[in-house]
Amino acid sequence: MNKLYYLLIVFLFLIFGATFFAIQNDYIIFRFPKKNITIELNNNLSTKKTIKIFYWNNTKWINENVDILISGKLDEDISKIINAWLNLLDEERIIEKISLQTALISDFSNELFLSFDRNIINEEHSTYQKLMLIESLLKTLRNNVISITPTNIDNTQELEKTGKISKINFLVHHKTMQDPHLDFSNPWPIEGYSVE
Amino acid sequence: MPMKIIMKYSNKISKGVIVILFILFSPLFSFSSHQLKIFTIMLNPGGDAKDAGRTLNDSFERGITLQFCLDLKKTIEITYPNVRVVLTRIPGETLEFLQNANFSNRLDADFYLSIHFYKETDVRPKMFLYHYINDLFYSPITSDISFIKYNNAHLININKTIEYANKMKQTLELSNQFDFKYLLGIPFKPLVGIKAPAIALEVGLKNSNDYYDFVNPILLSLESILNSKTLN
Repeated sequence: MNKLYYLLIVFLFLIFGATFFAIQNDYIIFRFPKKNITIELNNNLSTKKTIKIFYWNNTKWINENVDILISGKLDEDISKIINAWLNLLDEERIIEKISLQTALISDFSNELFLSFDRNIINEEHSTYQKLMLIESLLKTLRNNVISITPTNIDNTQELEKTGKISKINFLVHHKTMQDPHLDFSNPWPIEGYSVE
Repeated sequence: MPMKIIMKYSNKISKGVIVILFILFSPLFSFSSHQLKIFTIMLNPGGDAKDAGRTLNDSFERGITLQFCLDLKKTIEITYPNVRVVLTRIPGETLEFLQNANFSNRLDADFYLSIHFYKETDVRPKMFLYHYINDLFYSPITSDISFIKYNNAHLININKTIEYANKMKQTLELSNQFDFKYLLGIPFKPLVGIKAPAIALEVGLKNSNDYYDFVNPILLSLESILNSKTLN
């Protein structure tokens, strides 16, 4: 009786070991039933838009058409416009390579906050050249922000903000931009100051 | 009896009355129509000991503007003896933010002129005039007693500022020496916080020694302002 008992135990462990070996080496594979996963489609699809970028070239305004993808979120789209403006000015060798860190719109005062990684103004330039650089950015925004309307009509908060940015704050690394001649301690009106 | 006393001392009494009347009303006679009034101009040379300013060939803006202001001061004082000219800094002095504005406001300057130069790359030198605004839709401050933010001090005399700037512009436009480009109202930092009519003049220099050629044209442009203000 004892011998039978031991033989049974050995046989059971043999089966168990063989089964474990087979599972470890993928001879036996267990497939568990999967849960149903539904994928939500994002209704805010990006669309391609052509925008006009303006810059001042000594005596006159020059504009160029650039294609960007707009997402419908105003601050993201403004960021793309400004980066396109910075890239164009870098190509034209008006400014050095500068990028926009952050573009945020205030909910309370319709002010736009732009933070760059470097000062966009060249200190050696005349005040007028510095002024026209800022004016070219303002002109680019004025001419393009209205045209960028979110396609998702359910996004009413974004629609209310469209075209209603009235002032812009210029920052470098999230601190007020400094220049010996132009005062950036107050926000600049989007209409600018220039007579041109 | 009193009548007899009055009659006796009538001559002395009448002389005394005349003297008293003279003392009382003499201040009126001291102001003639041709009395000359002291007019104070504050000249601000751009830059300071800490901020050398823009590079101009072999020198910096701070040195050239100071030289220019000293020459202009000397010329103004010779031409208009009743004009007092004060400079905002001396060589080697470092200025703090709003220090010039405080100085001008305490001194109650009648006119503030800020001088700036940059390196000109075009054929002819260019000249610009600026006055300070920080809001396109501004209203002059007319109340004598009011709390005003420092960056709205320019609104106290904004109309006079624009008047002076236009007078300067009319003269400067006629010059053949340079191209007068624009008179602009912009947030020009060196003019922040100044109560007096304040204007900035920016000129492009091809060579650093060319600054001296602008002394006489600037003096001529100030003529229309100084002639009307140095007479009562």
